[in-house]
Amino acid sequence: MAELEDIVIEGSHQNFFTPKVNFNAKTGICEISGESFLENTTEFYKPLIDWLRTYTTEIKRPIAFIIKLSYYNTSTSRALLDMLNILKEYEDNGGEVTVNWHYDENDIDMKEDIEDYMIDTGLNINLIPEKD
Amino acid sequence: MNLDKENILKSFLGNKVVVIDKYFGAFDRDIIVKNLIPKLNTITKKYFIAQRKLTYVFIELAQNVGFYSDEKKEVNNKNIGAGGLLFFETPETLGFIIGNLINNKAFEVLKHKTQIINNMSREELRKLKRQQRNLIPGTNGNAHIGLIMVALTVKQPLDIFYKKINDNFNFFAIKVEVNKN
Repeated sequence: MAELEDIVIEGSHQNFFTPKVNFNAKTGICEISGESFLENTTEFYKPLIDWLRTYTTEIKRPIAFIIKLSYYNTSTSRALLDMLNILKEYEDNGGEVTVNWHYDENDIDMKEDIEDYMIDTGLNINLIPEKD
Repeated sequence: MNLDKENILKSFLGNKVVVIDKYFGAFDRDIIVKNLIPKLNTITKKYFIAQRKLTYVFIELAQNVGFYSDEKKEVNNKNIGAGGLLFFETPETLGFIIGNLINNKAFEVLKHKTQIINNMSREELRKLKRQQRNLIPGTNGNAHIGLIMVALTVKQPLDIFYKKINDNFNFFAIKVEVNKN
């Protein structure tokens, strides 16, 4: 089995709101932070989705998925759903999954959306409110 | 087709608001991020919660104009949807109205969608959002939930306006207004 390479993306608020990404195959800690409003959402998130599929079917170690997005547009929200569904499937197959979602404590809309993801996926997501 | 978008949008707004900035042209991603979001940030800089709400819905609606407007402008060899935008304020509120040309068939679909959304409770809207988000994504990962998210974010019915332009087209606009505090 070929080694799964880490994904590291710097993130940018310049031309587009590109999120910072750090998916680590050794530690199983996967973090997405910043903002997500991209030129091509599908093109950006496909490698991340593929990476999660490979990690959960071949590496099969514990995974901690951490989201710290202060903004994401609706096409990103679909990509997030795809990633969370992969994690749920892994959990159903015996994998150890932790999902922590950090959000601004004043952003009630985001809190509600996280709750909707929990309903949709069946995953237990740890909501972590943060002071601005 | 020469559309006087500015006067059409002003007629939708009425005269109880003060127009503080405007834009007419293509709504490509570069313009939205480099030009229009900074304008919005300047207008809303004293009102953090209003800024967050308006930025969120603005990006969704501006993207929609870029994708779906029937008036196109060429930007970097791509045909991008064009439209018009006015930022406004009143003593208590901040907002914008954004509109574009739309063919009759698309207009009827959009009008129907907004009617459905405006007749739903918050819980029903959240359920619809979850259903729609589970559908196969559209072009560029379109999640089919843009207007639903606008309604959920502003916590009010979608405020829509339209004017018949000719036998084939309407001009369709959405107004978003939030309290400053």
